[in-house]
Amino acid sequence: MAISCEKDLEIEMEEKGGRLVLYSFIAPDSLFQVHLSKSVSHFSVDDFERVYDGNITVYKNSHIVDDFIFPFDDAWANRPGVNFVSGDSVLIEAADGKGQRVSGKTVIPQSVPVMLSDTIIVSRNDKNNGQKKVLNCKLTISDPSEVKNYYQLIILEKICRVENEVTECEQSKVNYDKNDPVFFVQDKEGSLIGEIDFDGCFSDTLFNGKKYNLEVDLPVEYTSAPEQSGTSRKIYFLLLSHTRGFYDYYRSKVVAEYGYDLPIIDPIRIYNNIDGGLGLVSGYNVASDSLVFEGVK
Amino acid sequence: MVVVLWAMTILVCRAQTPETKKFSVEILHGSSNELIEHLQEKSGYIISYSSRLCLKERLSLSTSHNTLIGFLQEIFRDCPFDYTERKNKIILRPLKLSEQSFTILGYVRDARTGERLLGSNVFSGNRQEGTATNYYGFYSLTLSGGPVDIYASYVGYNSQKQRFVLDSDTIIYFSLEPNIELPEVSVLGSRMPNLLQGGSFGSARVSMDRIVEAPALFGESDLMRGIQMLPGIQSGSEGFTGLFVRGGGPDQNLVLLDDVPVYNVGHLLGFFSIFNTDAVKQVAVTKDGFPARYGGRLSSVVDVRMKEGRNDRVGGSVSLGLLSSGVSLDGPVFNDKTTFALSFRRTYVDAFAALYQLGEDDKTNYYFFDLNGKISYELSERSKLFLSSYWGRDKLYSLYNYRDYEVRVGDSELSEKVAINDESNTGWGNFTGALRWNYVVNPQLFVNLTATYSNYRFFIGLKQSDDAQEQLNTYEQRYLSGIQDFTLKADFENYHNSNNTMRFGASGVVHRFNPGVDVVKESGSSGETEETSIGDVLVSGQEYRIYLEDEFSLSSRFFANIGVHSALFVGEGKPYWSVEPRLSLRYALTPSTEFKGSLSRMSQFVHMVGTAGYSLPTDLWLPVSERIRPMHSDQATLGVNFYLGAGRRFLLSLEGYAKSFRNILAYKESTGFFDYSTTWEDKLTTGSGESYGVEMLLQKNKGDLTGWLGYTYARTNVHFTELNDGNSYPARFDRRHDISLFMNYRFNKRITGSLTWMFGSGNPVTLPEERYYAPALSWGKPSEFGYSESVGSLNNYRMPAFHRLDLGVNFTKKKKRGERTWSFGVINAYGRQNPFLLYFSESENNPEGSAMRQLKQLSLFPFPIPYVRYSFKF
Repeated sequence: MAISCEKDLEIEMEEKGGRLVLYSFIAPDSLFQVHLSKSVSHFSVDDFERVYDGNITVYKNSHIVDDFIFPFDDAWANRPGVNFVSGDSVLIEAADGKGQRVSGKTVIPQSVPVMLSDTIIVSRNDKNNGQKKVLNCKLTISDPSEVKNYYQLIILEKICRVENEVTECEQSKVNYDKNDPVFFVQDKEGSLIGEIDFDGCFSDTLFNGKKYNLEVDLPVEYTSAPEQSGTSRKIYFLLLSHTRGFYDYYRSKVVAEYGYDLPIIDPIRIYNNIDGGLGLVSGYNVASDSLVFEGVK
Repeated sequence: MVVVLWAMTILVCRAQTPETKKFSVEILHGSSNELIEHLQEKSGYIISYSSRLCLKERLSLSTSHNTLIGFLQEIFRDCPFDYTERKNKIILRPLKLSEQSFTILGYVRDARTGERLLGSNVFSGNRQEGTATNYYGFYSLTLSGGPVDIYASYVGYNSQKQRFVLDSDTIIYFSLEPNIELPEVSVLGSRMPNLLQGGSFGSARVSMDRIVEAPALFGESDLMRGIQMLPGIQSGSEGFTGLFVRGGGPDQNLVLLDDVPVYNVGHLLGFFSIFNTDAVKQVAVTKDGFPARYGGRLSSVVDVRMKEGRNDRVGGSVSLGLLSSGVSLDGPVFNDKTTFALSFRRTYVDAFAALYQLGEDDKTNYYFFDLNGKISYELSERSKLFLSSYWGRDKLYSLYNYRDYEVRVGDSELSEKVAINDESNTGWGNFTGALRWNYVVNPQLFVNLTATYSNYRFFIGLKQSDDAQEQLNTYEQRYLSGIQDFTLKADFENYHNSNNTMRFGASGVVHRFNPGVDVVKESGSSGETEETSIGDVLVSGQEYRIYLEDEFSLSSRFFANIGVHSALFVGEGKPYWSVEPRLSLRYALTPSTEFKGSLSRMSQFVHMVGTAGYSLPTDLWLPVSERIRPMHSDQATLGVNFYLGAGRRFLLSLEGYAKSFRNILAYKESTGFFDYSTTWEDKLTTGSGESYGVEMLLQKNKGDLTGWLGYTYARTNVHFTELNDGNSYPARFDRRHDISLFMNYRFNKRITGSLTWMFGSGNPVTLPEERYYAPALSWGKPSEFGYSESVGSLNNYRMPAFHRLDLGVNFTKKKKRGERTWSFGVINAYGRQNPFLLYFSESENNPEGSAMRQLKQLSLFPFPIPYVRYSFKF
């Protein structure tokens, strides 16, 4: 590689782009949002092109529930009046002024309860410092049988302070150790080669239809109550139930992005479920449990 | 009914013949005459015999109950006879010499070194019948008695002829003198084993001399690069030594080193092969018409044989190159019955790098080495034992975080400072061992028993020290993966007659796959070490194979090799088995024109799970499973050879092939090699493919100018239901046109020059065509990129064509103690920038105010790279 060099290359590539891109991630009791844009040629330095004359139509269980002009100056159109519940079938159609039409559909999955069943502080091997203390949390998931389930475990830390009878909260994502086999099916592969982090996204392959105790390790810093009086620390364990489409989309996107800076790896085709265009329409649902550490009163 | 009665009558009549009617005798010992008289009494037959039959004073019969002819055959066991039956009279006469068959057997050897020559032709001119030595230099030719002239020939050696009267089984050792004065060499070697004159079933042998003399990157002669010059065989990317044979991937090649499968043949990430040319005696490549003795891979067999060592004196060679140096020694041990050959090669990249990094805090370095050793022991004229081994390793390592640590000296207050550092390393290596025993059971039956061991290992390691709280703790983590094979094999060759050789055998392999284990080792100041293994899973499988192969001629023009190979794989899931028919035919239309055709089915029970495009040391070998079925291929070829010019100086070979693949593997689109949260079976999808093409090879084998011109036109498409929307697409190395030109010119006895030119039309490449919005999800991790790339179709574009000219010249001079050679040359003589990979980046040449991205290519060897090499043979 020391004697390698690069040069510009003339390959006749078709000028692609201009396809409609539609995204919507729909959950019950959450703000309904839709994104509409257009793809651009790979030679472009822009990431996408705005749609100035886009129209969106939303169907719930085959009935129109929303129809609007897409706000071209926003990335997402927020539609507070549109609500969905588990099991709803959602179809979103989009079109531009030139007659290009795309559509995507999904069914909102049921939420799967998660319960924090145990916590304990344990010592773990650490490759940098020998030993480290972590908060080991055991989460019980009752996986429904008959259907294949796709999950994502997100852990959030919320620190709230009460000052002058006003509560101020800060929320941040907790980066937890994904040592549980569901994240890392260490059956026939090793771990030390640069692994890909799928951000807590996993399937029920190992526990389909059973009750499963999923274990995660949190840095021990999260176990203490805040020293400041009137401050509380709350750790939320959110178990997102996703569709298969989202699972495929998210994983293929993560793998594709892994190779963006490594031209030796072939580009990956990212899953999409938009007829006539690109993007994803997918429902999800959330169940949660939490752990609270109250500060000194 | 009539037929049955007739048949019974025939049987009853036959039961009465002296050949079938058994009776008992009382006298078992005596002279020939006494025993014959006794037989006359007991059988009722009058026995009349020629005085030319050998009569003995004293002999014994082995049994008292036999047929008359059976007894007579024992009495005249040393003089074959024919008999005539007239009423109750038996007339015996000795067979004429021409009516008897005798076997000529032996070995063909190099007269200087005593090393056996594999694939030499042994041919009788007056009988127009011949054979070739097998992989152990053994031949057996059965001819009718009488005057016979027989000669042995081998490329690069003077032929040797013997004339004698063949009246008994005869052992002849041919010792051929190397042909230095008259350069009549074959660039591609003869094809072997060519049992029959003009026959070319099996392999194409690549001349090691030509490989050594050819221009070489950094002066490192490379066997695999020589193979890549053959039509139908491609290098994956410039500089790499992987083989892509007729649309097959690098895992579809069975590379055998002295009968031991080698799983990774690359040094320096595949830029050089592990085979030290100083240690290799011969390499043969089979890509179609696979004889039934081969199995286990779909696309090719590369059979590498190590040198055995000369038996007259200890000699060797030393070679010094820009990248590595090597030393080889071989010769007799104690006596000429035992010989050894030892070769060692090592890079000094690390030495140069250490000098370059002198004084720096962090050091990164690399080395590789390989060691080949072989001992052969001639137990008797009929029996020989071989023990051979290979050990090689590549290691890339970084030393960093150097610091001082105070160590207390004994119980005193004194302390001294020692430097400690952390280290990370990665490496891979093969170890192989083979024990073989050749035995000539009888003049027509040769047997070879083999026990082999092969171990391929890949590792990544991390070693860190921590001096917290006045204690030195070390932490070590190693990731290991690999495959081990234990093999037992028996091969038999039965030289029934000069027109028929039958081969059969069986083998059993135990595979132990280690797909990956993390070993964590911690030790504190107390000296206690704690070791933990994570994911130490061993996947095992057994492969059993049997084969039967018959090579024969139906006439002086029509030759055939027909056989069947059968395999059974027993793993952790359900067992798989295969029956693979093989057929090769050759028809000599005229002395200078012959047609050839072949059909073969191959299957493969182990496959490589890797980065797909390149054969890297991280590649994992894994067995078939419940869900991953064995790969199969069917191949048909049809071709014609024209021998042209005076003395058949030129060979023009045209060959077309069609090949189909089933159950080939590829990664699914939503996963990849670096995805460790999915089981390997879930990451893969199976599909099919087909490849077809035409190959042309024009060789000039004789004269000062030798060489070849090869051209391949090929198409390879693959189809996976789960990939590319279920549409077929070009395979990764679907290269339409390939040209290779190799020329070697002998200016005089001291100077030779070589030229290679290679051309390949563009390899397919997958390029993204669109970018589009990538949402940042509130619960997801923030994306490094605000966009996603859209890929229209897999392998939707082609890279620019590849071509390169390499030139080299070798100056050889006899010295007092041996022969030295200086080799000079240049790789990529006209500085062609060939594409290694393509990528997009911001363009620097856009007009102000506008911004566009540009497609760029990376070239690995973009300018002329000179080389020099010194070698000395003694």
